[in-house]
Amino acid sequence: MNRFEFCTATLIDGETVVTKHDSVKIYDGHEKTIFEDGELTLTTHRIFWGKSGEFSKGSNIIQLRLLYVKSLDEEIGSSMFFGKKKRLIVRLNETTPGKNPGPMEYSKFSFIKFSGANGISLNFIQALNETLLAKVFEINETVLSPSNTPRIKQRSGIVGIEKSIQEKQKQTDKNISAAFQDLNKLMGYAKEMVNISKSISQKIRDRQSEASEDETLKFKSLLMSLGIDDPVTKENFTNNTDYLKSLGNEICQSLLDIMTEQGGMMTITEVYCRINRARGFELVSPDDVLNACKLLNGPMKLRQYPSGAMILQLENHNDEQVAEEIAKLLEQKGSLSIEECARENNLSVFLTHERFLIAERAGRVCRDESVEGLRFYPNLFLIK
Amino acid sequence: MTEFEFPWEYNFPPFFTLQKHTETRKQQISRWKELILTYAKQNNQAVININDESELFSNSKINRTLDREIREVILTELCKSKNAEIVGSKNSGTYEIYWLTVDEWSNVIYSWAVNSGMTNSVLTFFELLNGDDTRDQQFHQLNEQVFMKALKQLEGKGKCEVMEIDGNYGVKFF
Repeated sequence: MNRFEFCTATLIDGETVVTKHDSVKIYDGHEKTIFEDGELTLTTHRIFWGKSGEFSKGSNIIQLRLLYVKSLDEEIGSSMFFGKKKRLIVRLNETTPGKNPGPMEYSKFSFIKFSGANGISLNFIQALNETLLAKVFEINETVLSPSNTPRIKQRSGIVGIEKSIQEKQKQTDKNISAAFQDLNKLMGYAKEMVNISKSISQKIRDRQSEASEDETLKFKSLLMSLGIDDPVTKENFTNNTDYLKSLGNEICQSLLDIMTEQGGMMTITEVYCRINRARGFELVSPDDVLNACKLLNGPMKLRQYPSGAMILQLENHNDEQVAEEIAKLLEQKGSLSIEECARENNLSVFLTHERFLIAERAGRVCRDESVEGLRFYPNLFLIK
Repeated sequence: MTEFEFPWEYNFPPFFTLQKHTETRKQQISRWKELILTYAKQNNQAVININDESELFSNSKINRTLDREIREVILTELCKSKNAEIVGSKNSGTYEIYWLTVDEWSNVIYSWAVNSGMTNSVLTFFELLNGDDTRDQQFHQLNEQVFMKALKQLEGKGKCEVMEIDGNYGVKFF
């Protein structure tokens, strides 16, 4: 009963009257109160209780905001004289700080009952239920409740400014955490997606014979575009070395094809970009990639060239072969700049430069530095 | 005198860039040394200044010029093999070029003197360098400074004596 407030019977913006009910008395919990034989008016926002006709006159009556209504219940009371009648039990939420004073400031009950001379009509209960579900009151609640914010804004001076800054920071904090909640949700979904793709690929494997080759291929390429289906993450490992080793395996698996295509070499920066692009989520740090590559002992290994360039290369890759290739190319072309060769082979300029340096160290090419730039020639000094 | 015929390297652009590969660089420098010596010999040019613009160090046809630093490296190498000697201060950039080393020159001159029976008589530098008797000799029209150096070395070994007569130099082989 302490959730009731004194008020004037005027409607706020957007509030409309839903229905009315005559001769209602209010129970605070199980106890009778002085509020007997009144008129209940249900609006989209509140329930008013006043003596008959007071609501329409707009005089001072009491109200219960629908905000406080938790749930509804019914009770069949039996009376010796009137037979059975329906009472409406309204279970209530805790009071909020912005509550205006009311007829009863304290109550040990967290529910009230409405009881009518002939019970509460089914129509009223239904209307109340629907109004509660519609939750119109939530939209205009700020207007209705005289909240504290305007008072703060009126404050001037340093305190006022500080307060407003604090207020802003709080808001930002809230926004950020809300944003991250979204991100977490997204990650959650991503995991689900990964699971789905895993189960699908499992199914494909099981039913290889049933699906036609074309379909299987198409499906696999679709799955591939989802990225790596089971990224190696740090959380799964207690031991850092194990983690790095697994990451290394992942790098090998995912880059082997492309690396073979590119002539067996890839700069560490490209490895980093490609692996993170493939993972999509659960990105790895440059340090982790570097350390994982250092630990690699499989089909590829990391090598630091005299120029300082770190390059991941296939184990079977050897410098003589690279030198041989470059020398052959130069024999055909006469001379080449790094850019021309990079374009020719579809490799990065950086990598091409490194390949020329390898060939130069092997004594297969010689350089020509001039205002026209750096060009490489077959090493005629040693050939002729 | 016939036009000097440059070797193939002269038209090979990388020849004008100091190579990084050790073996290649060694080859390159030795070819430069060879070129400089042949060039100097053919043009009878005993003195080369590396600061001068000369066709020796610049090939306008392929638009390449040898950097001064590399010229210095090559000349230093020539000095090491006694095929050159710096003239004046260290930074002058002027070198005397010996397509035969001073040692070799002195041998060549002395064996000529002995073989042609010129020992024990005084000969002037002029007749030795420009005279008809030496026309077919390698040291014919050799730079006087270089010639002097070779004779001085012979003198040190007691095989001749260099003397000055009225501002002209003469030599007596023993």
